[in-house]
Amino acid sequence: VGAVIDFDGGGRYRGEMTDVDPESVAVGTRVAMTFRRLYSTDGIHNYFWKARPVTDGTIGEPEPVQPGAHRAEGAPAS
Amino acid sequence: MTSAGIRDRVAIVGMGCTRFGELWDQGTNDLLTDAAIECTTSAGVAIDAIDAFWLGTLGAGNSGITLSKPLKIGYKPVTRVENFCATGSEAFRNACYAVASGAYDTAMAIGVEKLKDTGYSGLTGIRLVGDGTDPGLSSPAAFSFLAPSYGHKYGVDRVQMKEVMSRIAFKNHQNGARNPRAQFQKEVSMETIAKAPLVAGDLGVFDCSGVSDGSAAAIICRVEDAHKYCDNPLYVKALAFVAGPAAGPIDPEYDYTTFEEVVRSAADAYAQAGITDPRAQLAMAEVHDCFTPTELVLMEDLGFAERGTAWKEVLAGTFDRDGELPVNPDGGLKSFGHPIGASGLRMLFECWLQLRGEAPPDRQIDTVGAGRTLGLTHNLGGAPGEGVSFVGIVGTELG
Repeated sequence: VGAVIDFDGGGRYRGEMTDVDPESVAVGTRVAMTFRRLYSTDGIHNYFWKARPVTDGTIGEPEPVQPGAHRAEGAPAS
Repeated sequence: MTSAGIRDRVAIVGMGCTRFGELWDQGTNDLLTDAAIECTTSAGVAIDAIDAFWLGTLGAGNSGITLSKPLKIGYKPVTRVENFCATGSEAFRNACYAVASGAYDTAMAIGVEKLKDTGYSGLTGIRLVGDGTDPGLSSPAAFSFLAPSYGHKYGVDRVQMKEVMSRIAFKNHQNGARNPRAQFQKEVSMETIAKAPLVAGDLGVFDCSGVSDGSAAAIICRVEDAHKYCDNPLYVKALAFVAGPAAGPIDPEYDYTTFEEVVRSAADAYAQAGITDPRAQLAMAEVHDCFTPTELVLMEDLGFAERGTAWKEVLAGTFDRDGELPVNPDGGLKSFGHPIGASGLRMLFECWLQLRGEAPPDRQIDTVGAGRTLGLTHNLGGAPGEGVSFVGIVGTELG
């Protein structure tokens, strides 16, 4: 699932989501970053950041929601 | 941005375009040869009469030899250019400048792509070596972001957005169904389009352009020479090109509902051509409908509809072949197909037919008969927030 992730306080990353039901992703979904395997080639793994929905508040404890904060823009992509 | 432009200094005096599609029996050399022969025949000249060549291709070959060898051109200048999906337009733009400069009397711009037989469905081409952190979104994935972003910004719900997207595909298939050179020549129902298997996000199979083989070509000369070759040439009014800063993927200000590169290149082109109200002044537009939400956004970026209203105009039929401003009357990338390097020239080919009244009666647009003389071609490359854009305008009258 591809998404455009805007961070609280500024900054943007366009990348993949993980641990997510594609149907549940919408503009404004709050997410947290997690370090995951991105590619594997010939047994060599490459790790980088992915985003996953914030579900229980223990990761990425949200601030009071600001307009435009932490938006996952776009929809499930692949 | 300022650009003086070369309005009314060069003219198109011949064109050719192969059928687009899954052409299993034709290779790159065959496609180039067919387009070039139709083009020179159309202008009534031999290939030897062309002074210089610009070849556009993303991946069908490197260097000018890709063209000089199959066409047996001999020892002539052949330049190979690449600028993402705007490659065909880039070949045309550079050929026009070469003639306008006086360096050559005649030039051919020709584009080609052979996407089938690569063992892969979709775009092939060069993948630059990165640091392993590139999420590597596919083109459908990158463009799929447009739909929910547009809907979110303008209050169009997901069901309505799907209807708007389907309506664009429906229209382009209707147009392609009347075009014997198109890859897909069947009308497709709204229901079939809407229920097609998903490719990325809310983009279904019918929301994506055709992956195809094909080639198209144009011969350009100075305006004062045009009638040596052709009674009714197309005059080049504007050529605008923009490569953006590609900051969208890291810039929170970018909202995935517009292509700033298109807005800028359109403004430049309209200034060059002296156009103030494109919707009323253009007879037609061929735009880069790589995916249905792309065409939706382009209607606003090109100034055909106010911000936030294009979705209503699409549903109202404004851009249908018999609408107020026909958009992609040849079927567009969606139905005519998208062999990358050929697409920009294929768009010009439709202007060549329609503006000069040579399109078959069953698909000739009414705006030309009503006195409009200008056609626009728009070619986009890259992805939302990180792209290049070409806007060209041609017309049948000087001044």
